[in-house]
Amino acid sequence: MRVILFILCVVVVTVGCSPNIAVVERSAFAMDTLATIKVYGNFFDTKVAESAIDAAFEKLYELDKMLDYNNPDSELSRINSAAYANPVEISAAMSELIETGLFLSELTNGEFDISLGSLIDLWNREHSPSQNEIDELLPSLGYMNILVSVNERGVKTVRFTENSLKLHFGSIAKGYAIDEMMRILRFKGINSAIIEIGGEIGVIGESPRLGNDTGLWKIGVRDPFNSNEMIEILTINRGTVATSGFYERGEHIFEPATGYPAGSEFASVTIISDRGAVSDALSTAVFIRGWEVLESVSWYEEEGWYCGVGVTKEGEVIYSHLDDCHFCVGNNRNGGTNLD
Amino acid sequence: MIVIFALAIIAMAAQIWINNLKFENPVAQIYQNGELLHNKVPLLQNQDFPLNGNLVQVRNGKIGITEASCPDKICVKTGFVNGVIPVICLPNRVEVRIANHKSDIDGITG
Repeated sequence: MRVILFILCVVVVTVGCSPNIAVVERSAFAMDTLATIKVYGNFFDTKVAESAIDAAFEKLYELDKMLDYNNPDSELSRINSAAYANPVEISAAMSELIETGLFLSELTNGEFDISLGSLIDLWNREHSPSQNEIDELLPSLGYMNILVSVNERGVKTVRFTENSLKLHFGSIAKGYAIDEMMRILRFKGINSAIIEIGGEIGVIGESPRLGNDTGLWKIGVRDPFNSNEMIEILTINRGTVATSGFYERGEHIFEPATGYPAGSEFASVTIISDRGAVSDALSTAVFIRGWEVLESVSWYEEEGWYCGVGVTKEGEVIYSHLDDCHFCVGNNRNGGTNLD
Repeated sequence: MIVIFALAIIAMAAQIWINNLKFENPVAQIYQNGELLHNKVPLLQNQDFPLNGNLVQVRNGKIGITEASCPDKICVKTGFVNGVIPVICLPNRVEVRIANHKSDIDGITG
């Protein structure tokens, strides 16, 4: 992944916003996609917003560098090349990401799994690998082969119990980055903002959209069959939104159980939850295995801590738990089916 | 007193007029490598913007990328837009977006 680059700053006063609300907007290329931050406020001085955005992008660049799968000098590559032989000391950020990833892998019974690096390498290398090659690789994968502990110096370490295992955070990195960036913006005193990284979204505070008296955010779900259109519009009060699917630009999603690209019933799955990492991982798991994968997440479900929208390959829109969701307060329900 | 009142009315009318003007004449912004190459590109006037690796065209009130040196051509397939959805060419780091679209959407997932 190439971290790039630019910082551009556009300050547009009152365009598209309620009167007297300014927006400071910047975009950057990182994690192989486009990231945008919009911060809203009654700024006497936009420097507060700009410095908050600087700090959030710094974090994004830091994570991008740390998780660069193709750069042999990144922390991730260092772990992947050495963690089978010996425990490798890891940074606090890496340890938090691995532990979040392991928690979500366990929560989804391994439908989301952070251990699939070698499988993704195999498919990238051969495009259509043989059954033998896949069969050889499969037994060595699995999140349960990743062990995190603390060494005698009090530093967290990671070790793999299988030689071919490699960490890959493709289905969680952007969501995790959104969590971290939202934390930084809040810490810097920002109370209205939206972050988008390659189609994943996090919102802070209220939306100042022109003509919007509610402060709620309207998030369009891109039509997986026509990327120029939206198939659904969700109204959320806070939280994060992530979508997994075979969009043109999307990464391949592999089924950990078979080692093949997911034979999903869905064209796309969108999850809304309080944490970007959770939305990201759950959207992948539901895309692979359907809503039933979340039956094991009953404590999440019962408390209304996530909700979702799936678009089937036939174009039908299916909802899950929208009615009791803490985050999603409405949708346009294009005649879709409600699973609640 | 009357003068102040009249001025206030005129100011309000001007604000409404300016707002309408903003929303009725959509303009686009073209970025490459994060640099704002073209600001306030009017969509009512057909124009071409050759960039390094891409050709951006304005046609009939919409804007799109019609030529791209990248292998996937996702940006070209996106077609012409005039709303909340931007046109993005990731390999060439080009972003074309509508600065003042009428959509009441805050963001897009997917």
